[in-house]
Amino acid sequence: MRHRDRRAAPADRKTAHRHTAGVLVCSAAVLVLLCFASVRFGIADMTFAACVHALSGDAGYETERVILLSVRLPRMAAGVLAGAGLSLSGLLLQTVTDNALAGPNIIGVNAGAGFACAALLSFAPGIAATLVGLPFAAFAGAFCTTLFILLLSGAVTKNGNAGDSSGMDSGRTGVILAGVAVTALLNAAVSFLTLLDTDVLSSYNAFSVGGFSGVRMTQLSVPAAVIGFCLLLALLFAPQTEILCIGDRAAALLGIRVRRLRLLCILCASACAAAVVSFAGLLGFVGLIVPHMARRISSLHGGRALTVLCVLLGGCVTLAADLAGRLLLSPTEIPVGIMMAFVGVPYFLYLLRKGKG
Amino acid sequence: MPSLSIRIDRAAYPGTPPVLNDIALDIPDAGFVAIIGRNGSGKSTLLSCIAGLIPFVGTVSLAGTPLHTLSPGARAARIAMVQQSPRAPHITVETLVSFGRRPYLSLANVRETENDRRAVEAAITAASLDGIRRRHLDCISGGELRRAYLGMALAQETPILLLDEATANMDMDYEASFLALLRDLAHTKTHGSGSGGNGSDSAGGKTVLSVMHNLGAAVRYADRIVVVDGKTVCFVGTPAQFCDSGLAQQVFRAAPVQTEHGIFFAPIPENAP
Repeated sequence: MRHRDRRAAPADRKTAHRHTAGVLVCSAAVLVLLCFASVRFGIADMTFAACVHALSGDAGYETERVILLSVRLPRMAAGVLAGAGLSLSGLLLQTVTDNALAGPNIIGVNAGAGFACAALLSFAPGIAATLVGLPFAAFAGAFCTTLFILLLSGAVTKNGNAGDSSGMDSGRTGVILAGVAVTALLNAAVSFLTLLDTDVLSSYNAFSVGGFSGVRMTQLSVPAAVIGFCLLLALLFAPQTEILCIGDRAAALLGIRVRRLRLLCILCASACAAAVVSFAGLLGFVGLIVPHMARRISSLHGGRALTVLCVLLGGCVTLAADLAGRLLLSPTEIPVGIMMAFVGVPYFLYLLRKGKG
Repeated sequence: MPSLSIRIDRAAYPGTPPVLNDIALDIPDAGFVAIIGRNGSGKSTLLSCIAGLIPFVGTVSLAGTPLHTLSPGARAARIAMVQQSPRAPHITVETLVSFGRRPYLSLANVRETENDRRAVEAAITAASLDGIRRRHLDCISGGELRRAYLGMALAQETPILLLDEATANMDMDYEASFLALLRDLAHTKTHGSGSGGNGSDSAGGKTVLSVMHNLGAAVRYADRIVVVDGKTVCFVGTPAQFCDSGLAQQVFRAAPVQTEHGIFFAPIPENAP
């Protein structure tokens, strides 16, 4: 035996299935509770009864109704959507790159979105000021950067500069290397643009911190459709992606089209994260920490149950961070991006200390 | 049971000279075939070509059907392979073995069928994995890890089983039991092998092709010996024919020694004529 079992496997299949079902139900229950709390608590004090009256359209609750429909409910929906999208993105990337420290950042989502927004703020401030200007730029920048990184990593793989001799397992390394290089380049470009124009710097800072303040329901429909579609694809292919843990060659021997599956997963991960960036700005660490939380809580290594759990826990973590940010220094609000960093950085260091990845 | 026909004109890794040239090899149905050769002679490349892992000029056919015309899933239902250096992720042995049913599952597969469960249980029993089925791969020995991957390959229920130095780093006792298991698989009529995993019985055992370095073990356990040297196949025959051919001296600088326990190979000293 090489070393002691870190976690004992469940005694039998039935117990394992029961445990998984229990974890899923509990996570869903916590998410529902957090949704209620997110609607109930905020700067304006509002009881649950007032919320019910306001949503029922009762007279005398017009102010509460406006607050709920234009602030609290969009914010709650944005929190769930952002957590779900980023967690799904992180899970897919960690699975297909076989790297425990992978997240949307490594495929250039944040760098691409940041650069596109900084460029729009610099060269077309008029368009940036419109409602759809920055969200569209963020989505396009993030998605195009991922495509560019994939092309670049393909070139790295073909030249045989990374990975094994067959070039099969090198796909995952190539993506990471290309992602690091492109991210560094785009970050430098953003610094250059913000150095030239201080107005861009202040606007860019607000975007880069990330948060749900001022989010409108209309902004969420397209991201919700993108994330929903990607979730369906991820669930469909989950039994195949979980097999990638035994290596690309071994997976190919089981009939899996490894390159095609990896490409699909990376594109889904990019689309999910880009959709989130379009309405929430640059939120860090959700995509990194939630898949690890899900694995530790459930003892699952992959598959559909882990995908669903990740989405539920992502919503929980983001809503909890947003709620804490609203209540801790009330009436001053701490953006959810900063709250996530407070939680995420210690966990990141813990992972490094445990030698993951 | 179908026969395996291997015709490889040229096989090379990108940017390197050819590793294999002009291979013409026919493997009869059922039996244990040991592929031997010096380090770097192309034994593993030959297996990779058969498994379809690397591109090559030529054709590998099973029962007259060229394998390159099959979909990856259909190919995986015909050929299984245990690799030289299998990975050990944090999953249980049972989970790994169940991966072997992947070629028979649909994309939207939600629940495993009774046939899948039976195949996994049969593979666990055949590979003697019952005692470690709940253990994680990163917490078992190298020998047990190879056995676990053999279990996964058996769950694939393929007529052809390829093994790339599957007994490397095993102690003698473990190697002997592992090779005896392979011989049994090649000789015993098994449920499902050769049927594409649909559960019907086959006329004989599996066709097992194993890359080996231990000449003595190859001669003791295999039905046929294939020697790869000079980028091509230079010998195909029975173990007795191999011992009589003088190839052991020429290729491996080793001489067969007959003892009461069987044939062993002794190295020939550097300065010997």
